[in-house]
Amino acid sequence: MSEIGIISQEYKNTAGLFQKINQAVIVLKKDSYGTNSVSPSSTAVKEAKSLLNKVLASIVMMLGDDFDNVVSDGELISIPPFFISRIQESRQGDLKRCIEDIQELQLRLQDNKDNKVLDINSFKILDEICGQLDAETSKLYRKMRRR
Amino acid sequence: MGITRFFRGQVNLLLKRCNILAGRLSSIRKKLQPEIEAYIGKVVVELDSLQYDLEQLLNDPDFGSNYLLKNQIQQYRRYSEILNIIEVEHITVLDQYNDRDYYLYCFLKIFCQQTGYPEKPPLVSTHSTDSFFVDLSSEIIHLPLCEDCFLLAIPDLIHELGHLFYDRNSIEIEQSFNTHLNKHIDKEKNKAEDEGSSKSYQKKFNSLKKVWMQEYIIEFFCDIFATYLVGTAYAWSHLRLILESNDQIYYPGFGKDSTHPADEARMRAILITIEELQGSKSTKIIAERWEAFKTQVFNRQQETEYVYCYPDSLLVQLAKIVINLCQRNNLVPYYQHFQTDNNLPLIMQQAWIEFHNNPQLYPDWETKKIEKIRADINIE
Repeated sequence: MSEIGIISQEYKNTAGLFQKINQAVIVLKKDSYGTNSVSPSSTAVKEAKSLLNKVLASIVMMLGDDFDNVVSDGELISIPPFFISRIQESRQGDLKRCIEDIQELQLRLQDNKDNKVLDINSFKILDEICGQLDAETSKLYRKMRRR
Repeated sequence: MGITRFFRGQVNLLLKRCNILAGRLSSIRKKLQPEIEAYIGKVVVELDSLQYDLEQLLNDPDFGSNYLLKNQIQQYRRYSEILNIIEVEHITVLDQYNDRDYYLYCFLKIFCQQTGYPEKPPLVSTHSTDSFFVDLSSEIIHLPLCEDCFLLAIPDLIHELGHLFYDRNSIEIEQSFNTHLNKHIDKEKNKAEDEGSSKSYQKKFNSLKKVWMQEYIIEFFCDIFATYLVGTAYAWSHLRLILESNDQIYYPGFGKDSTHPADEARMRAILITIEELQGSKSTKIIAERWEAFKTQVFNRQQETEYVYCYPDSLLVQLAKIVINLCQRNNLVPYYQHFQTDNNLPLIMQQAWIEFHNNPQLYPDWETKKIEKIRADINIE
């Protein structure tokens, strides 16, 4: 009985989510700090913020063990539950604070109609999420390849 | 050497590997059957897209800048994984592609036509170093080396096809099922809370919910899907699999870890599916045989909390959801095929009947049947 079917499905979902989030974070960082690049278009920035808003809203709900309503605007953002476990474990000492920080950033993204760039603390939170998701993806990949 | 220079050098090497693999693929494609061309085309597109992404990364004026370095390295890691999948899965399978692979691909293609499976059939490789499995990152189904000479385990191939069908429909399935799952877990968790259980004990219910959402749902889905298409042949095949691989049919129980749900529960889900489709009379023989194996052969240790993990109510709901999805996709259930001698779902069922009727003579029957199938698909 092979586990590859399940693990490769988990890898595909987790890697797919990582790509989306990381790409959105790169767009927003270029918007905030880019010196050499051509600035991303306002549409790209808007789409990146919208995606991150939905993802963060789902993460906040799932971190609070609310799995019932992880749907937003007709577009479902599927967050792998084991990725949530990873955050819960790594932040078990200050999980409440972690949830508050993510929620605060999510609300900023949601209300961001004034095209304000994100500050350094916002990127710290996004980088932590990317880092955890990257670690989870790599773990699944190694498992899949039995390394 | 600075980090950025080192990183740039590695991305360049990944691009070189991409180009080499494109060359290898181009020489492999000349020796393959024309039917496989579409798959090769898909791999070419994936390689082209990766080459483009790597060039974009290298040409980014902000390549390696402090504020982007981590994101770019993480992105590079994904590119590296994608290329490894193309090399180790796609191109290696195509490089080793032989007549056995082609026979099983044709077998699956005909099965898909006869059952109304709505997607193109996947590639099949008979070089598995494990049992049957599908790798979702390449969508290739792997089987043991001489599985082309047998029929009784072939229903497991349909289980693997189920993984691909799940992937296409996962969001719908999860949305429909999670309501039932949440209700069940919340009820049991609240009961535990009322009984004064510790917080850490209550947390086990959250873990159970997550493992169901991320893993168990997939395996049960594939079992129900395969049962819908080949009926009791899948049930017998699963019993065969348990017999050769697992004595602990109640593992994993509450608070235990495994990607696969317990075999006892999987067999229950299979029987529930047949009952949902054709009523309880149709499961009588296999259910009785399963009970006998459970009490006389397998390890009977079942923890009290096992009841929380896979209640009938959840399995029934999932069976109804999967059956409904199959019906909406016009998939033909196992009991609605025309009685022709080349119908593969019926042959899988017939094989098990022959095995039960005369286990001694079955191997010869099976060999002749496979010769006939090969002749029908025009493969010697």
